[in-house]
Amino acid sequence: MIRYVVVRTIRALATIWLVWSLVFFLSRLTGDPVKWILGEFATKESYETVASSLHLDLPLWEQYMRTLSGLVRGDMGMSYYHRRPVADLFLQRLGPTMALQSVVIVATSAIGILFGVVAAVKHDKLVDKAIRFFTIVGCTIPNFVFAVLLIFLFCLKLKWLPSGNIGSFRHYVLPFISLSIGPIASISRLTRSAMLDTLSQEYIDVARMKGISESAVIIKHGLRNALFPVVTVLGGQIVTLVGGAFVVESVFSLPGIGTLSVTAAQTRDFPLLQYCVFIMIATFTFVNLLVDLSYAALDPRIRDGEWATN
Amino acid sequence: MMVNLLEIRNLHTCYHAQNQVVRAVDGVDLHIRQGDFYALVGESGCGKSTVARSIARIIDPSYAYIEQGEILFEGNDLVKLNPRQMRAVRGLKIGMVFQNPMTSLNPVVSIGKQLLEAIQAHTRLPRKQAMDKAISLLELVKIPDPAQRMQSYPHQLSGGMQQRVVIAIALANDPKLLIADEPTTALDVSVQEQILKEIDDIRKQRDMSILLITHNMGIVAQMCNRVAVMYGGVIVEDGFSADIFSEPLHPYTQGLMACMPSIEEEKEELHVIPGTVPKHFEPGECRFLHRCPIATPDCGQREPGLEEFKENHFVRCHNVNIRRLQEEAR
Ligand SMILES: Nc1ncnc2c1ncn2[C@@H]1O[C@H](COP(=O)(O)OP(=O)(O)OP(=O)(O)O)[C@@H](O)[C@H]1O
Ligand SMILES: [Mg+2]
Repeated sequence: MIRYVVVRTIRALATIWLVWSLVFFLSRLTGDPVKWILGEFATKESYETVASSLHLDLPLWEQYMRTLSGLVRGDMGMSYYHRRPVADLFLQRLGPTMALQSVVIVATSAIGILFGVVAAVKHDKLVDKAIRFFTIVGCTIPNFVFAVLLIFLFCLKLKWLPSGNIGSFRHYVLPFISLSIGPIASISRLTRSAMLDTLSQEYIDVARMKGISESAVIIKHGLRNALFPVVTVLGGQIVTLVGGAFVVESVFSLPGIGTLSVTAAQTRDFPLLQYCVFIMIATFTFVNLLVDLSYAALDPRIRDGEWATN
Repeated sequence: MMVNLLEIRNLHTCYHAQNQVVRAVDGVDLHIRQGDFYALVGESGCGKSTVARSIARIIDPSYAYIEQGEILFEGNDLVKLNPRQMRAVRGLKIGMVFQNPMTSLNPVVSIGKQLLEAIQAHTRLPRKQAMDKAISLLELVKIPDPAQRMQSYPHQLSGGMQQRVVIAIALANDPKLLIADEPTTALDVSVQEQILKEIDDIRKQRDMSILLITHNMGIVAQMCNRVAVMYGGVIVEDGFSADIFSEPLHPYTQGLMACMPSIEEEKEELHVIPGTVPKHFEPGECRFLHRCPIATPDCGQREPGLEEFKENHFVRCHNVNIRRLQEEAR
């Protein structure tokens, strides 16, 4: 068990480092930030001053080592444009994203699992067919299409809800809906098939033969086993969710991390972009690590190393 | 005179599959008395499990249903019970053991918890007492170190041990009837006999009845006092095993007996009943017609009923009944 935890943790750290490095080199392929900062009319001297003040005149390898050692020391650098620590900028924008994401993650898992369980229990009944129709729609239509459709309907036609910026919770309604439909659909589809699979197992009949209530059979024996594949996908789902947030935040001009990263990429603000990526990757990896470890905690077969994974 | 614990009358159970109805059980009558060790035998697909599942009503209502018939248990018709009343019967009055021990236990719940759940479903025992009862149940089914085993998970036990746990669960509330649907088919031959012997001992101690579904005629001959032979959704022969083994009447039963590997005479090859069970039967002809070695034109004209050949020995065959009438006339 301890070996399992150590191996998983090392692997997680390696993933974070790898992705972070990838972003470091890839972003530098996209162009020269100094030209962006100075605009078209830069003189040779002003160019050189700016470049050296940002350490962009150093060889790429040295830049990398500098940034990496900063990262290890916890010094994340300054934004090229705002001349402020990137961590400050990030924190400033964290509120809207967190508010949206936390609600989306909790609500989508709860609703998705509920839909999946109901669909499986009412297999082939009308409810199941309705949920299946919804999942097909939800899984095929991308979230920005929902966003645009929702803005068109509720903001422009019906004028019920605001379409941009933040303020009251009403500003979050449409971003929430457009972000949630996809994940709810995929979680409920997955839960449904996992539930159908577990409900056909013999131990379900054994549990039924004890004379316990049907809800105890479905939740304690069915859902408890069906949840394993669902939890795995939930971990991965968070990645797509945050990816979706970039687009949806842009569509609704919500000033969150999504819009911050998009702007950072557009303006080649490397330290800011790297910081955003670093935090996100670290979060995903950490979440996935927790998923793996909770697996081990929940499933005695893994605890015993019967499925000892590499 | 012993009273019937379970009396099944004219049971019909159907499955809906791909827009057609499969009558898996097509008019079954069965009566089990208290203390009986009753065997239900027959080829794969003849409807044995469906009978067992119909009794406890653990058939999926989305595609299976009891079309008609009565299942009288201690005089009450189980078919008419609502789900809540049915739950009060399951586990408390009727216990059931399934074919595959490796999938019969919830893999992520400890043995102890699964046993406690069965005990506490019907009795409000304090935790300590419930634990003691669980341990004594594990002792009853001869699991070594029962107290330690309570914390084990199913995968830590062998198949035979897992099936013993399932049996302990089924016996948790001292049921009147234990239904065992091929409980040992998935196990080693050596373990098979041992487990069945143990169940039989418990039956004797508790004056419980057992309905055993099996393919193994040797086990039936050795342990069961009564047998029903099923073919194509109906019972073709029913009686005391002593009678049936000394004088099998139905050609299908005779075929089954011939399939038994015999100990005395070393046969070169096992006799196999030719043909397979057809999926559908033409109404108005004997179900066994196309595989029957003694069929006469009459067998294609009307379906035989289950008739009493001699006391407590029933058979569903025109030819056998003609023989009986001839013998009586003499
Ligand atoms: N879920 C189902 N859907 C449709 N048909 C089914 C279903 N389960 C069983 N049947 C059909 O019902 C008939 C009886 O099945 P059952 O399982 O009761 O047979 P069995 O005698 O227990 O066989 P076995 O010895 O293989 O366990 C078979 O012809 C089978 O095809
Ligand atoms: Mg069966």
